[in-house]
Amino acid sequence: MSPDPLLSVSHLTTVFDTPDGSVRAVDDVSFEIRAGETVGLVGESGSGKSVTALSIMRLVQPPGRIAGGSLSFKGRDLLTLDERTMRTVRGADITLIFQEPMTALNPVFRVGDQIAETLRVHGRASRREARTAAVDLLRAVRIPDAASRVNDYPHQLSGGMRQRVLIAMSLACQPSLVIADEPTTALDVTIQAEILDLLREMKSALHLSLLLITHDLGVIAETADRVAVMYAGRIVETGPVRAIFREPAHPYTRGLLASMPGGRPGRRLLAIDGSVPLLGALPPGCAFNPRCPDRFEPCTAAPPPDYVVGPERAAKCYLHDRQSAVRNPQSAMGTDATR
Amino acid sequence: MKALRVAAWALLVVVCLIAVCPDFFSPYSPSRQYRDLPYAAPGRYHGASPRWLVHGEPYRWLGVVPTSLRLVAVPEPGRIFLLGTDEFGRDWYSRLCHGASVSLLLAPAAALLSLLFAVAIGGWAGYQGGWIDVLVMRASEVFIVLPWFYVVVALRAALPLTLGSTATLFTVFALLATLGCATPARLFRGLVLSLKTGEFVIAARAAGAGGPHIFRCHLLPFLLQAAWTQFLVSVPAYIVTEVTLSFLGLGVAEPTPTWGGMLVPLQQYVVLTSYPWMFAPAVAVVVVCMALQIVAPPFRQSPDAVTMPV
Repeated sequence: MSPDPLLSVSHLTTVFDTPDGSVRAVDDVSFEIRAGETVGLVGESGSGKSVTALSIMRLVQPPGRIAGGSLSFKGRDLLTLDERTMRTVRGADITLIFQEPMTALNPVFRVGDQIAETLRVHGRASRREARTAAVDLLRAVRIPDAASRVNDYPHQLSGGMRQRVLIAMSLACQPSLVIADEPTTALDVTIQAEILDLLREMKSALHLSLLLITHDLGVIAETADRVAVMYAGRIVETGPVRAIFREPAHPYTRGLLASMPGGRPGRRLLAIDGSVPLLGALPPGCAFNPRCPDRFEPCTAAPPPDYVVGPERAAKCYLHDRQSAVRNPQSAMGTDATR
Repeated sequence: MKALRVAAWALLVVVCLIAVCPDFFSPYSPSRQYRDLPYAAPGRYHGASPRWLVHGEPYRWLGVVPTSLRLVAVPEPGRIFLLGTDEFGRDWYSRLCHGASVSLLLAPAAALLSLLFAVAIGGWAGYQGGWIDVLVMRASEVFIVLPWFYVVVALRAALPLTLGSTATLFTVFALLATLGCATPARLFRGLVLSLKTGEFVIAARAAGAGGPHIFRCHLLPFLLQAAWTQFLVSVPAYIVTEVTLSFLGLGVAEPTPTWGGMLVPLQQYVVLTSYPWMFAPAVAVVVVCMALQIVAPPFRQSPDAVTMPV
């Protein structure tokens, strides 16, 4: 492991207080992002990916709240910062790119003003400088005819261009971490590729770290260095992209990869049986156990801890307890990662 | 429909001009009595021949600039009463013009004041949420259930008699504006509630913007749109309120004319049946209120208005 990760999320828990009790949307999530690295966070809808992103920004809206854990960013714990200091982090050190570029832009302001706004709220530029900077940023994200496009309203731009505007906004203050929450989901496939190329290019040009949230394993395969798979608010498997795609360690990851289209033509697409459980009514033990083809006795008893399954790899699955128990009688690695 | 709105706007502009300089548009001072001509029907008397833009009775424009220029006047001893006279022989048309300045100044002022409160309170409650929101909304319910009329009567009774009638009226309207802010405050709170969970507001927060900045730049433009409609709708309500209060003798006292005060003679049966021109202020109130309703832009009713109240 690298000695100083840029962002280290440990045991992050975000709960939503509902009339029927509190629901853990993010449950004991730990991962880290190193400088210059792209980490992919994959999972189905409702698995807690977006809430994780909002939690890192400390933007979870009531009735949601961060119930525990720590977010160590450049040596500071973001959860202990006061709101005023946190505001200087948001948009400057850590920025967020939203999924739906139409709703993330204010419909009544020109896009140039919205880019300039980011610079202005951080006191990085005067009104005039911010305007020139906005044109430069639009040019940097390859919007043609940037000088006149700054005066356009969001509805005058296409979806891809709006997403470029959002990317320009997120890069305005030269952040060290960009969180992209499903940045390509709302776009056409051809535009998706362009946006991903742009993100990759910006990442290497500006030495950013990128947390890429998506439900599209293809996007992860193309873009990410490491990946964390989320299921029902927990990270069930982490590791380098190549290793996970070659040999998934968790049955859920295996199911996800198997259900990707692109196998032999004419073959039926595989699907994981059942559906995602409601967060308010999780099954006991491993949340995936009712859908798991490899379920055995311990799965329904208690949630599995992290088992180290390879270099920089971990999975929350008792299958690896059995294997490591066979190979290594002490099984020290498993218990050490338990809460 | 477009022609109707243009006509309504034109009428309102004319009425506003009259309200700003009533002396210019009227041939006489509102308190000038011609005792020899009580309840005179509309028309010319003593062989009057009207002249345009002449110097007549002197007055002070806006209470400051001394002048005597009038749109229409007749040389002595001729008289012209466009809308007849009342029991003291005062020109009803001149009084109507002067009444407009009180009625049409008070109502927009009260509406503006109440909307100012409403945007501030509703916006704040909606944006803060939590217990502040609950507290403000419950308080607004108390305001809404209060029967405003009895509150005003009680206030009139509580105010010292030494207070001038104009001062009293302004106090009453300030109170009405405060009470009246409850309903629009709930509207603005609802708007803020739906807007603040909008992604562009979260995006602005993610960009590091603070509460005041978000309220000013991302919420207020949407609220002002609704506020404008609300303003045009609530002005007639305040005009009618002034008319009601003055009609019942709780408004401005004689001899200052107001539209409501000018309806007081209609409480007498003989006036009601024999002098139809005395209905002029009632017609004016109805026409002005209708014009305001016509120009008020409707909220967009297309389905996308739900998500994007632009």
